[in-house]
Amino acid sequence: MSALKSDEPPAMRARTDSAWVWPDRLEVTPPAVPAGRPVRSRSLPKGRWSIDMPDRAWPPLPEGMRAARGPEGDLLEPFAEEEPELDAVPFETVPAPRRPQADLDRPEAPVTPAVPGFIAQSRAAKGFVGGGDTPEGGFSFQLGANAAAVMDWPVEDEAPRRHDPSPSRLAYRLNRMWLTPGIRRFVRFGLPLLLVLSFAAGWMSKPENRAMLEASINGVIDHVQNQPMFRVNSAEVISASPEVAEGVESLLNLHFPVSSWDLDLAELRATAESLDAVEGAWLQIRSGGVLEIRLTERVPAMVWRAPEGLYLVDDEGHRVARLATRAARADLPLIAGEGATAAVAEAQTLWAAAAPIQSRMRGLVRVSERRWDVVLDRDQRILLPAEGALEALERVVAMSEGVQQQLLSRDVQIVDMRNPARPTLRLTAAAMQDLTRNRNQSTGASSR
Amino acid sequence: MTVLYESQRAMRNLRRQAMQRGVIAVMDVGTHKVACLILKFGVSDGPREGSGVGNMAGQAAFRVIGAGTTCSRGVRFGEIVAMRETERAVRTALQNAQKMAQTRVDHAILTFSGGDMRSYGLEGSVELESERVSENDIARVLDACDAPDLGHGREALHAQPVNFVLDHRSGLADPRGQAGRRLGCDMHMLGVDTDVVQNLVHCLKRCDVEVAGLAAAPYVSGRASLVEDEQELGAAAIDLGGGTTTLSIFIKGHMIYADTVRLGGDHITGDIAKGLQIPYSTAERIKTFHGGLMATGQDDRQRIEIGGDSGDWEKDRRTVTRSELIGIMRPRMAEILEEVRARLDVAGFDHLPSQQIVLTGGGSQVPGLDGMAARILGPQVRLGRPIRVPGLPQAATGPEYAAIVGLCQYAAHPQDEWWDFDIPAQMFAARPLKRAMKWFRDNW
Repeated sequence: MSALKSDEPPAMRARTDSAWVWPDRLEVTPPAVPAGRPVRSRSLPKGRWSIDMPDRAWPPLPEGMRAARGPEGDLLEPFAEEEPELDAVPFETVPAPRRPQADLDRPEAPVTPAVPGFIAQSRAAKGFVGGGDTPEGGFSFQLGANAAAVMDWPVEDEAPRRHDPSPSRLAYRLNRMWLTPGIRRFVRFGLPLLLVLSFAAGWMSKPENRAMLEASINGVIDHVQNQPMFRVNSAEVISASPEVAEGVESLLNLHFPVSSWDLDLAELRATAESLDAVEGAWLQIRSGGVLEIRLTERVPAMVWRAPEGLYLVDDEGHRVARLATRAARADLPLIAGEGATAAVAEAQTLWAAAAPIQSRMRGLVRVSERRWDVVLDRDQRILLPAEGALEALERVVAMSEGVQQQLLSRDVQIVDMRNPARPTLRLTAAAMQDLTRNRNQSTGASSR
Repeated sequence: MTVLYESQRAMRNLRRQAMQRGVIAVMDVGTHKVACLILKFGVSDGPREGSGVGNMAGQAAFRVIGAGTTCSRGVRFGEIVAMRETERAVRTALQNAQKMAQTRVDHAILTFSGGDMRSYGLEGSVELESERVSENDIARVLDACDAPDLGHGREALHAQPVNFVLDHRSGLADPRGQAGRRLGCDMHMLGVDTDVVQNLVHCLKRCDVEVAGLAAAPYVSGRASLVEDEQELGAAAIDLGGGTTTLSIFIKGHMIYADTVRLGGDHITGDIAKGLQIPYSTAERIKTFHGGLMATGQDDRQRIEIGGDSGDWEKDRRTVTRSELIGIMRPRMAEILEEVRARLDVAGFDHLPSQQIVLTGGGSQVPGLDGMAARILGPQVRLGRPIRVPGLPQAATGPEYAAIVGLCQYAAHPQDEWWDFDIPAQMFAARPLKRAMKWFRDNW
């Protein structure tokens, strides 16, 4: 490299600016001086003129306390040991004008201070305020006392350094990595997402945090739900009978005021419909905070004598209400027996078909969940078949109607129509005795 | 030769891979600057209507998406002399280009002018196997060209078939499918120092970039600066670079001669710096702003402040007349052109039907060069600028970017090289099965 260097003109080795100039014909930069390293020198450095000289103290002295220097960098005058009389010091100082560079070769005459030991600085006078009254004791700064500290000054950072525009190997690789699409996507989206998720998970892993979050969410929900526009103040039950309305109201067990968010209308409807007398319920929260409940009641069609008591049932066999006495609803037909409610429709047709003998009928009894018995007064029964019960009953009714036959007016206990092809009568015991006796008399057989 | 063949084919495969990926960098490592362009393939749908760009050579297939230029460091005469410095310059250019393109590139095609390039004209001929010329015949005839001794440590950078001869018909560009008996071939081979190339490849590898192709600077700058008819009729492209001046001669669309002169614009700058006792950077600046080659009376009165930073008031206020500057530049430029003239004479440029000379490169921007070149090189001289490629920044359209623009074109449309053809079957012992098949075909 030195060979390369030697054939270059000396002008190239002249001082260059801090700016990057290219091309660099030397191709290698001179060994860099580490910036900020204090240079310790025995002799004072020679500057071209005083304003280029560094301050020979570190840290630099305040503006007014620096010593003035001659053009060769030497101190113009040592400081006076004793403090000058401040009153005698004229603060009028004349700044030395910047000389044109042309006559720099002729050294300027040293600036003679107005007062011995008190030196006007030769650079701009604007900073000079007269340091005699500084709290540190004015010009107590002494060159000889701490000479070592005074002689150190830092090498300026910027001056010899060239800025290298090329990226370092690491910077270049990182840059290339950043330009890789996958890594870029990961850093931009994946990493923040991961961070947020991990923070959230870490926070949520503490039970008190979870409870706090839950409480705050519930608070917000409550606050929203308890707004006045959601308040329900009263319920209005519309029903055919006031008893059912009262029953539904007490069943729903609503405590007003309540938020409409807390009312589960489907559940309320199911509760209302669980009442036997209610066939259907229709619920609506009207404006004004009124819960309207419209009820469709079941219509009782029959009286059912269950083992535990009397019930009203509708035409589907569903219980409507409990009945205290049969006489309370004497207008309705009575059914009884196991599985009677399941065949209410058939019972109704049978009841309608038996209209001519209605005055005698006591009720219908379901036998073996299979067929009906018609129970009349005087303990008479008509046993009907499982299939074709209506026809059988009509036949019996026909046989008991009219003038000739009057079947049921006779002393018959049971009309057995279970086999429609072979109707059978069971007479009462007295009638049977009479019949036997009459037969014996007519045939002359002994009664033995 | 087989090692070279394999390495060139490996680079070709890398190039194909990069093309499939769609992004490839082209890079010019010169003495004065390191330039890098990043090309994206398969994005442009041709030049816009009315943009003045015709569908020349189909370079509409790609688009320049990133460009970075920096001053070259550690390069002399187009060859690396300080690897770390060059690596820094390459990194700078690559990073700037990647930043502009917002993508990373892993493959780069490289052009350079160093390595003492030398041209060789080869010829060979074979008897045809069948009645018509097949692909295999072309591979055979390329293989039959007697390779010259390139010298120790030298390799072929380009080996391009220039001309085919079928029986007595010459000047065939593509003889495939034509009937004949004997096929001959002229090939142009460019030899280059292996070490120089290896240094460049290593330098790029240190920047994590694979070299996917190499091209000689004279070749690519000729492709960029010569228009098509000049390439067809015969012309020389002279690229006045920083450290080297390269020249290439084209005829019938092919390069038939390439050479480099190890003199360039930096030598002119050095002369100015030495002559006027000024820093190199100032000399470069004065050369660029005030340089010239033809002095007139006006130039005696025009004074140029050459300045200085010595602190000496007298020295820092020196001025020179422009005539003095021209007086320094002119002999050096004359020397460069004389040297080029000598190389052209060696190449037999005088015997070409058309003797068009195109000056390009950064050095061609000196005012008055065309007149001077016309006096030294010949009457038909023009200043050439590289063709326009889509997406190229305005700053990179000057003649100093001729090489890299030509490299873009080379990347998109490479001309046939010797290694683009398969090695003929009988030469290639690694395919015994194919040889056996051939033996069966021949005997039954």
